[in-house]
Amino acid sequence: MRVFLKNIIWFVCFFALFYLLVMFITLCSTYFTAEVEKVLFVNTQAGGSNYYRIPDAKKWLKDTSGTQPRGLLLGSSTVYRNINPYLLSERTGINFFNQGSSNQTLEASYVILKDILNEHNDIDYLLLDVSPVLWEVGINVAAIDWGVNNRTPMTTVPFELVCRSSGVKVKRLYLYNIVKRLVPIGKDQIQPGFFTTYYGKGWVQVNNNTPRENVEQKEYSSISPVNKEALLGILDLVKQHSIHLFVYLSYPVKAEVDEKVISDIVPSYFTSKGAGLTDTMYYDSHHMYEVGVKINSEWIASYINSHK
Amino acid sequence: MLFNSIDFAVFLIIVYALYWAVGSRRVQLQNLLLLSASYVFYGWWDWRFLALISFTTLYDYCAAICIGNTQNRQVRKLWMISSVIINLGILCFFKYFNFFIQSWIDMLHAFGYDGSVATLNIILPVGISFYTFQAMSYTIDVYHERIKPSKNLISFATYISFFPQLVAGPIERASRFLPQVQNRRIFSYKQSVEGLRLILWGLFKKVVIADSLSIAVEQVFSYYYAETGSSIMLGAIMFTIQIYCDFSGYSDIAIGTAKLFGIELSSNFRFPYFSKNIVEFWRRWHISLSQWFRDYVFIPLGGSRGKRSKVIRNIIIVFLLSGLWHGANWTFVVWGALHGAVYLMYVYYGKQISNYALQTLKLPAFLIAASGIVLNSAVLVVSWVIFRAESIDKAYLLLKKMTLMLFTPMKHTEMLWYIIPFIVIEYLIRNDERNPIRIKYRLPRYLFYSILIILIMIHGEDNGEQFIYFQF
Repeated sequence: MRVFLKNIIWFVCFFALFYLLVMFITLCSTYFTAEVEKVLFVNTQAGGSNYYRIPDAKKWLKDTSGTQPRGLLLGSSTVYRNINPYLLSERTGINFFNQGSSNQTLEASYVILKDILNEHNDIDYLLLDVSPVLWEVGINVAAIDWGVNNRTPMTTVPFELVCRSSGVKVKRLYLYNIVKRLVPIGKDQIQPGFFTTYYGKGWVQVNNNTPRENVEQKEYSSISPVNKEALLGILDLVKQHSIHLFVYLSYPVKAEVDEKVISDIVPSYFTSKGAGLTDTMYYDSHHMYEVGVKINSEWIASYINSHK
Repeated sequence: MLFNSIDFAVFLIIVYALYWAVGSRRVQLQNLLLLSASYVFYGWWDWRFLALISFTTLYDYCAAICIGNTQNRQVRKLWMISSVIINLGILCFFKYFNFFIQSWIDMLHAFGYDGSVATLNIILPVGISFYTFQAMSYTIDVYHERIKPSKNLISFATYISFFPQLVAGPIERASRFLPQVQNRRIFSYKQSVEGLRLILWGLFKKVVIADSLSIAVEQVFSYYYAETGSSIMLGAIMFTIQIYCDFSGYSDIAIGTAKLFGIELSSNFRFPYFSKNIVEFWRRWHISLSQWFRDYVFIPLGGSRGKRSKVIRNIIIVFLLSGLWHGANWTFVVWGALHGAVYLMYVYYGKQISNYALQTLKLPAFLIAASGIVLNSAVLVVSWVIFRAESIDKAYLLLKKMTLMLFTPMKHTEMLWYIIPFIVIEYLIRNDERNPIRIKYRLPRYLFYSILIILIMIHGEDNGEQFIYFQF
């Protein structure tokens, strides 16, 4: 038993040193660890992940700084799949960046917006998609992804996310990411995404080859307190920073949505109902084919033009 | 409490320290500690399950004593049958009640009758399929006088509920387990080190390989309509590796944990994917279940003696039951039937084909062996698609798309980073499943352990990911 315990102690010491060495290698490298992370953190690389997009977004914010007007698109996959930032910019004359990401709940949108506004106080417009699909969903993929992959100098925001997340690996990875954040951002690589390329203005991911899915009738009539609080937080933030906010409620297919959930919180909003979208333009309950994306983006652009 | 959770790590350290602090001379006290720990471990899921396992334990304990106390054949048989009925009754009620009711309603609907019988919302107690089989084997063995009934309730209860193997096996036999807990266990350095290595290797397989693959597998099987045929093929291969790493990882942790307490459990996996045929596969995959079915179903039915039709019947029955054991779904039944059919084909034609290739075609032995592994793997991949799909219809759609659209661009290829190195490592260590990490020198060995731990830390969830076989 004594030899066994002695060897365990030896190994613990060895492991501690090895762990420090791994951290040191992490600190000294950029490209190497980025490549390794692609393998290690597969779940944060799925379509719509912030993995590559964070540096992309930061770069866009930096490059377009001082050029007005510019706007952000925030929301879940109904934003990064269903809204074309290029078309929207062309039609409205506002330089839009699509920062939609998978499962981006209102809580996640709030945190992302807060983080962006910490560094860039000159956003003029915000289009926020309040997809009913995520009204009741807790903080998840997008937020964790942001917390883990944000390589910019530490702010309280990612930490806030880490504290609020539970039952996930984000806490354990946070130590690793604290070290990663010490690496200068200039060395980060902007790379092609999982499905497509989204240099410049975020992206629109279109799955035209996807067969249509049978969709069942669903009802959306409540929002979680935390998402409600986040929406109120977003209203506060846009007010503080004098941002023109457009709240967009994109209707899922065959959905019964109680709009009172949103109208009780925000003073004004518009929905996808007037866009002329049909069920056949969607390949599942809430994601569109290219034809739908075009109509949807045109509709949003016309609304923004008439209300900006 | 999952093996891959922080809770379990703390629990194990406490129980381990207390167990050896008690000292190996106080066997009863050590057993009582193991029993209490096992009940805490099981009650962690749902304390109500404890009533069920206690009842099974008490009933089988009493039934075995009654069998042992009489020489009257009929009375002995009656007790044995009552034990089997009680155990199977509990298992069927919790596992299959809703399935049979639903199937009955579906059948009525098919014939145009209205059969809206409300089904109960029955929670499946975790590990019930495993400990019920263990309990049943005990009374059957006592009845056949292979073992003597245990007079010590604590030892027997420890056998039924021993926490390392309680929820997903290996399904232990009393003849192997009870003597170990009834006798003194002395701390062994070699056994403890082997135990820790197995735990580490099991965690690596579960947390790093299985859980990482599960994300892509879930994507493929849930959104198969958006996947290409080749991606579904890769998804099926990923699931083949995932289920192996998940289940064998659990078994390694179970065997390793038991070793820490000086108890040896049976091997459950012997690198099954390197099998050259389906018969060999079933000697190397979920060994404790295969042996259970062999000893308590196949042999009592007549085994491989007698007419060919009878042997075929026996094999098919065993495979159908094996499929149904996994759960109340027709996909498992079809999975079992497919394995049974391929098994029969190999038993009756396999040798002739390999002899033909060896003697007539003069193919080298290694080529025949390699072809066997590839062919067997192909069958397994197809069968796992059926196993993983939620319904027969979905399995059909998946297989159809996988076959007809095979030559299409493949997604999820980044997962090959997990699959290929893992297969290479498995091949290198294929000779000893009970001691997978054998590196002679201390420095490279420590380095290897450290890399595994860091990978586990990076991939692990705080509360652990569920093991696939817990649902069975």
